[in-house]
Amino acid sequence: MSSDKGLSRVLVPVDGSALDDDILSLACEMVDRKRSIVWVLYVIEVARALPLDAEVSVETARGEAVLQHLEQLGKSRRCRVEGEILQARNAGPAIVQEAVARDAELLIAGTSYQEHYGSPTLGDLVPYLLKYSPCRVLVYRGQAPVPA
Amino acid sequence: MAAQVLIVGCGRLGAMVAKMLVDRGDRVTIVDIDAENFRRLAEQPGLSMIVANGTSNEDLRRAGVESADVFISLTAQDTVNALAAQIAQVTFGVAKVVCRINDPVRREMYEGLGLRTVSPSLVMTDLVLEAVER
Amino acid sequence: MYVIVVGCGKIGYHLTRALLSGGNEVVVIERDGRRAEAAAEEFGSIIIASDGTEPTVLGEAGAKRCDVLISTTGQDATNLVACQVGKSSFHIPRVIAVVTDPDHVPLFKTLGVDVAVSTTELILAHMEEEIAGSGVVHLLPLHGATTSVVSIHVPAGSPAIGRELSGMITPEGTALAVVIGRDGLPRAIGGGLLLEAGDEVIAITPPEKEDELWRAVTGEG
Repeated sequence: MSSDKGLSRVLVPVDGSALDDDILSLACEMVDRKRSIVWVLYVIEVARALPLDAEVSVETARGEAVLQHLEQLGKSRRCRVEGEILQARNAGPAIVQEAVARDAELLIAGTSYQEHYGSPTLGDLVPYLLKYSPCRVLVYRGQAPVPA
Repeated sequence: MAAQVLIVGCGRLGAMVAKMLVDRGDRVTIVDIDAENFRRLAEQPGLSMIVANGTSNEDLRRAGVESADVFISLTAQDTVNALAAQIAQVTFGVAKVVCRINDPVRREMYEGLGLRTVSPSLVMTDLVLEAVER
Repeated sequence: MYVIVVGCGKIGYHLTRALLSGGNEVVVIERDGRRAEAAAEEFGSIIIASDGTEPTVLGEAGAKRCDVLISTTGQDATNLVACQVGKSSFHIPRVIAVVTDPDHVPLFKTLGVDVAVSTTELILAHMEEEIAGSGVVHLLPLHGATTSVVSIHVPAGSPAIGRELSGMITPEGTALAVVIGRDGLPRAIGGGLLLEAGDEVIAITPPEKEDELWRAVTGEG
């Protein structure tokens, strides 16, 4: 990629699914551990029935637990991991905005095999990131084709 | 006594309703914005077909809304039916107004607002379920 | 304020921009997929590609906490239904409809639409000076439209300029209310107030007396 020392700024959107550990581990493998940072982003999609800055305590608590776990995982890999929770109407634009603001070099998006009306689909988020991300995007599917 | 009926929308439903009302002796005027749609009906005494916009006060006047006893809006669009029916009821004070509202949720709302509505999708659902159970 | 805009045509688009720059929270519901996509390119995730006359769609758009709904499509029927659903199903405090056919304005108001804006009437009002013989512009219908508040613009060169307003003989059933000068300030009729070119005379009249009133005020005709 850009230099043989590896990447230094990687953004990993997470959602508390089983894939989070995998993609964070992957990110930690790919970066230069001495001078790099991996941002872990947990986006809470707030329904329009609520104001964007509404207090969504259950979701926030869940996000905090997810981030805490992932920061711990990063530490065990001796990788600098910083977590952040964001409230947005849609995850896609929020993630892209963060990637731009942080000048990320790589985005790693986890996905599981899904079917929609009987046809395989990547859902809404992954295609959005593929279309609008300012940097490279890596799409990762976990070990099992269908999530447990 | 024979009633004076004004129908908006000459789709399949509008045309059939018009024909049945004329056959039983009512005087019917049916309007549609597209003359092509009148192909569904044959000329017969007691029936007039007029190319007109069912949501225009002027066109409705031309179609005789002021002397109508019954007004029925039966176009394929819920929104157009709701507007036409409320023009007839509120602006022209037609005694009996019936309105086709396909969406069951909106139908309930308009019933609450005092419109007499029919919902083809609800009627069909009932008929299908009845046929399944027979 | 939280504003729901139905329809992202020309009016909806510019309205949305203005509302956003005014610091409001805005959501736009546009049924046409291609138009919604184009709007989303500019406005981002505040665009919902769906039908704003459907109660479920309005519910998901947060109609329950909405302060104002403005329906701006080119179809009066759509605008009416969006407003009625907003009002009766979600109790939105203020619903506003753009109306293409001016005949629909009184009906919309009777049916609970708080503001019905007729684009045709707006344009006509702005064209008042250009349209010969129709110098009477309707401002507000009263008593179920049996009388109206109207505005009469006094063109330069009217024979009545310089006449005293309190002495003016106006048709029976009409009354002059106030004069708005060229500076935009109101002046009470009486006290020897004289009519000047460019004055706007606000009066009350039944529709059938409009022409007569116009002739009386301007001295033309």
